[in-house]
Amino acid sequence: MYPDKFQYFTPGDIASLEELLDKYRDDSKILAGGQSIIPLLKMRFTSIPNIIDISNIKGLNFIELNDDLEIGPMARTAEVAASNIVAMNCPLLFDAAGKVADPQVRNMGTVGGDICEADPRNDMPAVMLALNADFEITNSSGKRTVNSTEFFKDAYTTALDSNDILTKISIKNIGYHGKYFKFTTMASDFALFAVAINMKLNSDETVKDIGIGLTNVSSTAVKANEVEAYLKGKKIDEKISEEAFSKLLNMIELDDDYNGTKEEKQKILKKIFVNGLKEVYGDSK
Amino acid sequence: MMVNIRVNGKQYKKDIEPRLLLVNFLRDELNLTGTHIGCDTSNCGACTVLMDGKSVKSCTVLAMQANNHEITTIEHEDPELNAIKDAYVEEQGLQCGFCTPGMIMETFYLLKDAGNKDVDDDYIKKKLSGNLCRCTGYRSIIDSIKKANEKIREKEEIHVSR
Amino acid sequence: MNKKEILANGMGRYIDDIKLPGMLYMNIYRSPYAHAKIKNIKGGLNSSEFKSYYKSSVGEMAELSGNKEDKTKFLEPSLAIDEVKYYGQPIAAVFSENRYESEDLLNSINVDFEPMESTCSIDAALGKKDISKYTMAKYELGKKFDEKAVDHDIVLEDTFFNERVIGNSIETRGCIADYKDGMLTFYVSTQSVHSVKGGLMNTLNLDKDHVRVIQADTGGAFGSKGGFYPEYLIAAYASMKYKKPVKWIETRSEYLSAAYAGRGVKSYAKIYAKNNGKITGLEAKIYVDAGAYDAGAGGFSSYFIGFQVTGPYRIENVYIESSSIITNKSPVGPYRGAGRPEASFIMERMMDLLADKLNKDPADLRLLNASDEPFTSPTGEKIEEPTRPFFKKALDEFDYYNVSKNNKTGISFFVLIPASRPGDSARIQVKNGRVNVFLGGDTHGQGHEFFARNIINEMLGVDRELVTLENGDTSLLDMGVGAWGSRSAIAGGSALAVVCEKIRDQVIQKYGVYNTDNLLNGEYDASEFYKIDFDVYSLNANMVTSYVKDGKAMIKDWHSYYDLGKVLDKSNVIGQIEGGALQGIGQVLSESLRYSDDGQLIISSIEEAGLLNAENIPENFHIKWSEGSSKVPSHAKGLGESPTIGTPSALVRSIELSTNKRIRETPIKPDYFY
Repeated sequence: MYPDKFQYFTPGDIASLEELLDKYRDDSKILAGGQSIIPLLKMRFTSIPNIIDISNIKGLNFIELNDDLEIGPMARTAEVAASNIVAMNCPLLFDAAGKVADPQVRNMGTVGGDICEADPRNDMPAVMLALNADFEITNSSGKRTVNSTEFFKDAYTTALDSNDILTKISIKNIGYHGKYFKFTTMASDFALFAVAINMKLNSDETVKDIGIGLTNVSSTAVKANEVEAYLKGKKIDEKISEEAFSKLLNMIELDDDYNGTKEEKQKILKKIFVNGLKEVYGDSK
Repeated sequence: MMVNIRVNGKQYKKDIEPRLLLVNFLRDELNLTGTHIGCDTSNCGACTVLMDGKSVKSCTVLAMQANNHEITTIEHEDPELNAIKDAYVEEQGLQCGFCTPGMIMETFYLLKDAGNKDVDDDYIKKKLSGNLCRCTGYRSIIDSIKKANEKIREKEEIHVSR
Repeated sequence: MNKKEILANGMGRYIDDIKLPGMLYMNIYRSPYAHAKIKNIKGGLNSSEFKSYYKSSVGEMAELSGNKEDKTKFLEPSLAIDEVKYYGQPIAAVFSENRYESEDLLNSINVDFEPMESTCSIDAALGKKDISKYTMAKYELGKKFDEKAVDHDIVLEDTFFNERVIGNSIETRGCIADYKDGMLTFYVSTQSVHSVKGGLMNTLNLDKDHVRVIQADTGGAFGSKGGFYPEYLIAAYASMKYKKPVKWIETRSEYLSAAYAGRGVKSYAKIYAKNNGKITGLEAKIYVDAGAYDAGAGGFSSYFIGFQVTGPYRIENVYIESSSIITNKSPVGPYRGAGRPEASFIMERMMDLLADKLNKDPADLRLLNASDEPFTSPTGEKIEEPTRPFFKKALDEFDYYNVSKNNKTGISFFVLIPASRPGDSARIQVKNGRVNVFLGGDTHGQGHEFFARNIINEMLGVDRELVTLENGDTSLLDMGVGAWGSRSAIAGGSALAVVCEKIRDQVIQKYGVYNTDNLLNGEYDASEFYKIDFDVYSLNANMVTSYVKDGKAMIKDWHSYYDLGKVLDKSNVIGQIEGGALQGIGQVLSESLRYSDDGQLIISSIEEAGLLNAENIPENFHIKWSEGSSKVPSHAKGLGESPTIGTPSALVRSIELSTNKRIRETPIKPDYFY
């Protein structure tokens, strides 16, 4: 099981990277850690004539707290999962990064790659949606910022154009409580589905702000807008959670497959969702 | 394309196809056949090696990605790595031996990465989630890792007291 | 360095570690359909050139069943001829000196398929009008009985299903064929060089002096490398054709689609019982999802399951109808347990059902139905020792009555039927002060070297470090069977013990007296095929406690009490038990080979196949055994498969006590806990 032939580039700076992307456009793909792309190449699900490895470009691997929490596209998942800055300011991301795949894959893989690959089973898209993260995107014509809610279009499809580079992940909603509830089958590291919750309370214990993202409940990660709107201003209890879940059901598409029927999956998801809300709400008090 | 990869302390310069996987570079180009391929899909961890001291799955890393990096494999001569190998043999942490090099390399990493954390069952089980063994049922592997930890710590203490 | 040290240092020599000059890498183009006509093939080596059928010979098979049916009806071609009958069936082969380019060449093959209707499950086949068309083999065991003639108060029925699972050794299958000057040297990852040699000779019309099969270090097998495979033949043929060595190393997804899978058994059971719990009658229908060809064990395994379904219990009236059903799936073969776990699952599940119905303790019910004297079951299973005293002792060892008060506790009781027949061979060669041991069955991780060293040490007084167990090689030991079916310590160990006596005699003949120095200073060589034409059964029991947390079953304590006969190496026994236990747990919690209704294998990775990692092991193992007498020279009984037999039924019982939802299928689906 080996990849098809490709040309391989390691640009040393952003300008050279831009040049390569402008040249090869759709026939090229950026390689960060490669932990999502290389398996697809090996299975020959995809063939990419030009692979552009960005690991030699300086200044892309950072985890910094400025006004926002800022993460570079080459920050390894393991580094995020071990970062004190992330742990202190963004417990959701900290928790979720530690739950991606396994230690070896986290050592090589990047949060940025996880986002850009947009495999519906990847964990970071839902986390970014829950965090309302902004993505700085660079190409040869300049920089722009795209909010995560505008970013994930479909399975393996994002707002990135073929010559775009994700250069920074910015998270404004820091100082929240949060957790990533990942349901896997016994033997798997991939989420059967998962719920990312980021929450902040008012002093009266009503919800001031909440972000909810879901993994693998649709062709791409889902942000539960309506559920977030419903929960804002409320104190969360069992009844409210169940109502929230019924709203959530309108936003997702579960399918029958070998892990179970749609109904069976709904049953599990409900429990994960309701318990998750309760837990993060409890932590936030 | 030319790559420069330092493997087990020795520098190798080779002209390779860009699509060559690191595991095939090690096995076929350098004849270091201790690193194995078990699953192809970066699940089983039989191909685990260290890249700049961190464990990675060499079946899912391009040899080009290791260019100018340092790779450590099961063939490396290192007192701590040897202590781990001894512990696996003593505690029967291997049967068919096929997953073993990957297990040992991940052990090498997780013991270094533990810092001041207790290397207990819970810690080991979590850190071993990327390595599959079909023979042992893992109990003896976990015991091997604990024993390796003792061996390494003991040596450190001796070293410090001297 | 001993073997384990060699392996721990990454210095093993597995099949993909062997390189021969000029070697070609072979890749196989496989069927993407469960059933299709092949209208045309272009490219690669295909059946227009190499047309052959192969016979698989997994040693324990057929011997018992006496199945005289014409098996050639269901033979698999090495490369598909005009039709494919399962997803993953080999159609054509390509070759290159570069393994990446060999894979690229798969794109050069063009096949014109005409998809046909497929039958991909037991249920689908049973729904057909003419079931005989879908029957590979059919057996009746025991005796048909009239319900009225059976003394009973209640009748209970249930349906069970064990989904297909596969060995999933961490090393996949692989071989190297090297044909030179009329001689085929064949390196292979295997449980039996002799079964591979037989397969090559039969199909390629080579005589025994022109085939040598050498076992590479073998990275696990669990039954899936016991038999013969079409890919071996294709590689051998290609080596003869190209006059170059040909290596074949499969991918994991090929392994999942084409190596022999195990289980895949559906059953309907009906028991008749008295209100006191005594079972007076058992009827069962057993169906094996045998796959498209009778290549692994498909035709035989339905018989084997039916034969042993009553296990340690003495039931007067038994009638079993057992069938191997033809489906458009890969051939079913032996996977650790190979029929034994399926049989035990039926009986033990019915025991628990009866206990619930009568509100009795499941252990008491098992005791009641066990026997104080030897007996022969209506299916012909000869139980040569009383089963009740053993189970009583097991319950004591488990402290069952105390543990079960406070824990969700499942128990199981079963008879292990090792594949002791027809015995096996061994050779001892002494030279240069060292002892080399060869066994007819090939170790693939179970640690035969431990018992070999101990037997040599005990019988010939040789230091363990001076004893080496060599890999299988048909040129060094020309007769042999294989390592499967819990047989190695019984058959291989006994052959070795017999050869030790021969060596001893040789020394005595030379010196008049035996001592180790005389032995090691000289050169000696002896071999023997130790014939076994009887059974070496053993009684065994398991107990499992568990709890449910966050939608998952967590195993607290796993207990075993097995009769092992003489324990030849203690730590080796513990390793076998722990490893087997996790495979049994995997069958219940996660493992399966799942197909879509139209026969597409819908898993493509070892992860999706459900292999458990270290996070899923029992919190505690409590491993105990008795050393009952055994009639073979090694004094051993069987072990390898016991944990995979006893674990599933004990574990599902423990789990259903937490959830109050009866379990009839393995694996349990994720939503079961919600």
